Amino acid sequence: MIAVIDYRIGNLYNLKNALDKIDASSKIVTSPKELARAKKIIIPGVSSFDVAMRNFKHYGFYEKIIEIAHTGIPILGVCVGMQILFSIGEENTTTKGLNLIKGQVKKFTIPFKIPHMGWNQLSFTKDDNHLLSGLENGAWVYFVHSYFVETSAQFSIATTDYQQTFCSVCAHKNIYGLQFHPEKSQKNGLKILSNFCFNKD
Amino acid sequence: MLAKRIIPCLDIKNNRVVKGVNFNNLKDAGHPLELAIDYEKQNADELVFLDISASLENRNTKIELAQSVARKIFIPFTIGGGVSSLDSMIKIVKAGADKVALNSAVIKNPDLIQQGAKELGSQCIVVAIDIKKYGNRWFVHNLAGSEKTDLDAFEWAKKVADLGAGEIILTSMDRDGTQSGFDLEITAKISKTVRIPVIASGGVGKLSHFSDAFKIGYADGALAASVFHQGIFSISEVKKYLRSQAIVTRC
Repeated sequence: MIAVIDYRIGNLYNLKNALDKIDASSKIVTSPKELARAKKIIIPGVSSFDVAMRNFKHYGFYEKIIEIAHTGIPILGVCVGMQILFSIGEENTTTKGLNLIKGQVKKFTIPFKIPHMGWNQLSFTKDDNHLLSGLENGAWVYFVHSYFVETSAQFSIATTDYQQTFCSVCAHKNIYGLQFHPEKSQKNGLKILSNFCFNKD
Repeated sequence: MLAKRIIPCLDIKNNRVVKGVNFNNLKDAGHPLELAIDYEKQNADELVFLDISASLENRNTKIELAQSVARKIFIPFTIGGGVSSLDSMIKIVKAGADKVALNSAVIKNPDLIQQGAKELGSQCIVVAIDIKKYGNRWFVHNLAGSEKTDLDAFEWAKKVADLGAGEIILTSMDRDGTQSGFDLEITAKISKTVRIPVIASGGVGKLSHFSDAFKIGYADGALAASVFHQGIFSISEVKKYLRSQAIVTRC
């Protein structure tokens, strides 16, 4: 079973709908107890870094996820769910993240329209990660965000350009993150979700 | 690079897709679910669902139909028409909308934009602005275009952006359904001023109208209905043409 963590931010309906579409057996979990049976975990997120972390702690997921992360169970963060995998965020106020991957979450300071909203491309920086298997370099995916992850190149498996280049897909051991919304990225997004859900790790 | 978006719009009345000219003489254009699935296949970048008679009939959006569409498509989906409270916005998001389109209700009560943005995030709040040109100025209309307001379109666009809207759909009623091209002047004026995406709407008839929306109108996306419903061209054809004009689109 793939657990989708519900920590009361944003709407999980579309992500669940996409997982159903690819026939992945998934369950929305509202308490850390329910994570015991999870084979893999998805942390969604449509909100701000500070609110996401606050809720994550409030509903008791903070220690549990850090503990599970060290057992090797695959974890996928989506959008703000990816951002909180990192060490620190600067949205609204400086907030510590889960620190499962070293890096910081910063605001775009470019003269372009913010949020970065719409379809943009993935530029692969490593070719051997199963998460992107079956996709072509330059694959289009759907983004909505005003903050981006700044991390070491070793943790980034794809980047995207919006005036500046930022990490759009990260991977470190069993921890993965997508800055875009796979559930809204049509066939490319469904393929990435399948890769995560059905990879035998 | 961020792609320019092509967005088909489903105007809904009595559970059917309809399309008129200058917001009048509505004719049947097909079944919402069938059209939605077809447009996704054609590589539409997003889909907009507007229950156009909801405000006039003083009722909320028809959620069930919108939800049945949301379930079948995996691209961004905007639902609007008759959205008049924070509660109805939340209901619409729960039905599977990524964005909620607000129109008549925020003309009456602009604070609703702020409330929505605070609760659901700016990215979720789209303000649809229906405008008509009078002399050298554009004024906002409400209740599916039936009533002129005193709001100047340019000032209103700035205001909704300041209040926290994440996107504007700017529809020229003068051009709607006429296939004579977008109103580029006001689209450019607004898009160059506000720091949120502006979607040009109303008037597409030729492929070059799409490239004009981006090159002359500075729009971030172009919304169209008639040309797609009537099969005058497919979305893939539009994108192919735009790429030939050096405009970035999603393949």
